[in-house]
Amino acid sequence: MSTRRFLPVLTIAAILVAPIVASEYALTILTYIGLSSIVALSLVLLTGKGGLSSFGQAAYVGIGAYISAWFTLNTALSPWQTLPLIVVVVAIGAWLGALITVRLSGHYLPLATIAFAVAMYFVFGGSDIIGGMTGLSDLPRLTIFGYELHTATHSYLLVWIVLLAFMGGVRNILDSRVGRAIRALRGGVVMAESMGVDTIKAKVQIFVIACVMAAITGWLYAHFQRFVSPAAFSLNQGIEYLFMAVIGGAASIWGAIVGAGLITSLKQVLQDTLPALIGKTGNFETVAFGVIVIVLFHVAPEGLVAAVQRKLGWTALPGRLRPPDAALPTRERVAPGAAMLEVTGATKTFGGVVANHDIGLTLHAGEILALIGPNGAGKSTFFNLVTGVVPADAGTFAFRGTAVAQLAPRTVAALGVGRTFQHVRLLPDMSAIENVAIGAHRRGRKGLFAALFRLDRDEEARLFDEARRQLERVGLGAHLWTEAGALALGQQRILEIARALALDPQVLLLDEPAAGLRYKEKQDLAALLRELRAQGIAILLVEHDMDFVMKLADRVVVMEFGETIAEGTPAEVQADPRVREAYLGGAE
Amino acid sequence: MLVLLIVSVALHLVLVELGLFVFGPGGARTEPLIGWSLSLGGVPVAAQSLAIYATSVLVVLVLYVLSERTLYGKALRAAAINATGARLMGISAAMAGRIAFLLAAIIGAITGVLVSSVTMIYYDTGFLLGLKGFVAAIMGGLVSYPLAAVGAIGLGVMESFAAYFASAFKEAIVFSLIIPILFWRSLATFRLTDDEE
Repeated sequence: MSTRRFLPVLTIAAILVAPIVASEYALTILTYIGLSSIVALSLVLLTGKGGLSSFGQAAYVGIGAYISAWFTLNTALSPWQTLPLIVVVVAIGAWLGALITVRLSGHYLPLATIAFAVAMYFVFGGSDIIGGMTGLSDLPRLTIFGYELHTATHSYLLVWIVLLAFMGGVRNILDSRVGRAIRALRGGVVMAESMGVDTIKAKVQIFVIACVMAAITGWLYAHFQRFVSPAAFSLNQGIEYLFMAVIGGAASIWGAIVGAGLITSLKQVLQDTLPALIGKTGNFETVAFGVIVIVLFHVAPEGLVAAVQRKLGWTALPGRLRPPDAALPTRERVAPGAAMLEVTGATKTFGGVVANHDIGLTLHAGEILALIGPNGAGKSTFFNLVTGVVPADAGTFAFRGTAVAQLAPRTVAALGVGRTFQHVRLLPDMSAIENVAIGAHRRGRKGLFAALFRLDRDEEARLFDEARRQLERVGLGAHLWTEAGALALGQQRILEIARALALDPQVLLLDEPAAGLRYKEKQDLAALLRELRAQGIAILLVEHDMDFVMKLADRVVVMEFGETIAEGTPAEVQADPRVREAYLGGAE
Repeated sequence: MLVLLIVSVALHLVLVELGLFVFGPGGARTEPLIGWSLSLGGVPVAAQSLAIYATSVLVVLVLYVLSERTLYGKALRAAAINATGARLMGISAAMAGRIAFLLAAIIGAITGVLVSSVTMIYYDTGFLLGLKGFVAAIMGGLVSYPLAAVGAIGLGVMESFAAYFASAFKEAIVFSLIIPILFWRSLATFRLTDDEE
C-alpha cells in the first residue's frame, strides 16, 4: 500500500539520479525517450482520456521545430524568444483545425489527421526556404542565463524536467472539473451533454493542449539535435507516437513513459541485433517491430500499465476529501403545485413510424408523475424529446412558465433538469464520487488555467463534498471510491440518480430507475423519491414495475402506440377500460 | 475501434517492409494490358486509360449489386449500421468484416494491375494511392460508390493542375483538400450521436 504511494516519488528520484550512473550513450537514448514521452503524454490526454485519436502529432512536432529553426537561423531571435511564438502560432492553428475536425465522429478524425500528416510532410520537404528534403542544420543550442547547455546531461535533465512538468500539468487538469468533463467524453456525448458538459469545447481544449505540447517537444528536439529534416516528422513517426501512447496505456500518464521507453528501446535493440541474427541487412526490424506491436495489442489491449496493475490486483486508491469552506450554492425551492414542465403537441416520427403523436403533459413541483405504457409505446422517445437528445418534429416545451423552443441537452441540464438513462451511462473506470461530481459540473466555474495551477482546490472540495453528500443520501456512502464499473447493476442505477441529484435539479427525469433492483433496494428508492417530492422536486418517472408505480405516483399518464390514452390518479388509470385493453388485450 | 485502427496500421508497416524485401527499392513499370491507343477529337487516348474507366464503372456496378441485391451484401450493410443488432439476427460481424476486407483487397489488387503501366510503381506506392482514394471517398461521404468515383476524378483534376502550377506542393495540396471538405461535412452532418463502442 505505502510502496504504491511512494512509487511516483521513487521514479522521479531515479530520473534525476540517472545522469550520475548512466553513460553518455544511454543518456542520449534517454533524452530521445523523454522527448517521445512528451508527445505520447499529449496523446494520453487526447486519445486515452478524451477518445480522440490523432496520427498527426509528429507534424505538430515538426511545425514547432521548423519555426524555431528558421527564426533562430535567419533572425536575431534566440530559441527562448521563438518559444512563445511557437505556442501562439500552434495554439491558433490547432484551435482552427479543431473547430473543423472534432465534430467529426468515427473514422473521420484519425483519417483526417493521417491526411494532415502527409500534407505537412510534403510541405516541409517541398519548401526550399526551410531547406527542402535536406532540412536545416547548425541550429543554436539552448542557453540558460547565458550558459550553453552543451553536454548530454544538460539536455537529458532539461527534457525530463519539462516532461515531469507536463505530467504534473496533465495530472492537474485531469483531476479537476474540466478534467472530469474531458474524461466524460469517453462515456459518450449524450451522457456528457446531459450533465451540462460542453463536449465540443472539451474536445477543442484537449486538441489545442496536445498540439502545443507536441510543438514544444519539436522546439526541444530542434535545439537538442541542432538539425531538422522532414523525415523526423513524417506520418510514420506520428504512427509511432500513437503506438507508444496506446501500448504503454493511454489511460495512465505513466503509460506515456512506459510506452515511449519500450518502443524506443525495442527499435534500438532490433536495429542492433537483427542484422547479425539474420545474417544480412534489410528492413527486418520494421517487420519484427510491426509484428511485436500487433502481438502486444492482443496480449494487453488496454495497455501495459493497466495490464500490470490488473496482474498485481491494484485497484484505484481512495482519494482524500478536504472539508469544504462552504456549501455549493443551491437553486431556490419551488412551492409545491407550480407548473415546472409543460409540454404540448410533442410529435416525432422516425421514417414512417410515429413514435410520439401530439403528446402533452404538465409536471408540477412536488409531484411524482409516472409515464407508463407497453414496450414501444414511445416513452423513451418522449424522454429524449424533453431532454433535447432527439430533435422534435413539432411541439412546445415550457420550463417554469417560460416557453422555449426545444433546447439542447446541455441547456436543459443548466435549467435544472437532472436525468438518468434507461441503459446505465457511467464511466466504469472512474470512482463513484467522481462520476457523481460530473453531475455537479454546472455548479462549478473554474476552468482550465485554474485547474493547471491548482487554483481550483476550494471549489473542488465543495464539489466533492456535494457528491459525497448525494452518494450518502442514496445509500452508496460506503462506495465513494469504488470504481463505478465494479458496482452491481442496481447500485449503478442508484449512482445515476445521485449524479442527477448533484445537478441540484428542480425537475428529475428517471428512465426505469427500478429495473434490476432488488425488493429492499426498490423500497429504499421509493423512500428517496418521496423525500425528494417533499422537497418540492418535480419527478417524471418512466417505469414498468406497476406495483412500484401505483404505490408511489400522484398521477399516471399512459401511452400506447405513440399517443396518450389515459391520464389520472393511479386508481382512475387502473379502472380505465382502454388501459386494461392496452395491457391485457381486449375482452371479446 | 481505435485498437483495430492501430493494429491495421501496424499490419500496414509489416506489409510495406515485406514489400521492400520482396520487390526491392527500385521501381517497376509493366507493359499495358492493351497496347493500342485511339484518337478522340485529336487527343490521343491510351486504350489502357479507357480500360481503367471501364473497370471503375464495372467495380461500382458489381459493388452496388452485391450490397443491394444479395443476402451477403445486405448482411454486410447491416453489420456496418448496427453490429449488435446484426449479430442478434445471426449475422457474424467478424465474417462481415472479413468479406469487406477481402473485397477491398481484391479491388486494391485490380487497381495495382491496371495502374502499373500508367505510372512507375514502387513497393510503397499503394499507400499514397490508397490515401488519395480515402480523400476521394470522403468527398462522397464514405457512403456512395458513384460519389466516391466522382470525388476521385475531381481529385485527379486538382492534382494535375497542382502538378503544373506548384509541382513541389502537389501532394500537400491534394491532402490539404480534405480540410475544406471536412469543414463542409461537419456543418452538414453534425448531430448529437454516440459512436458505437
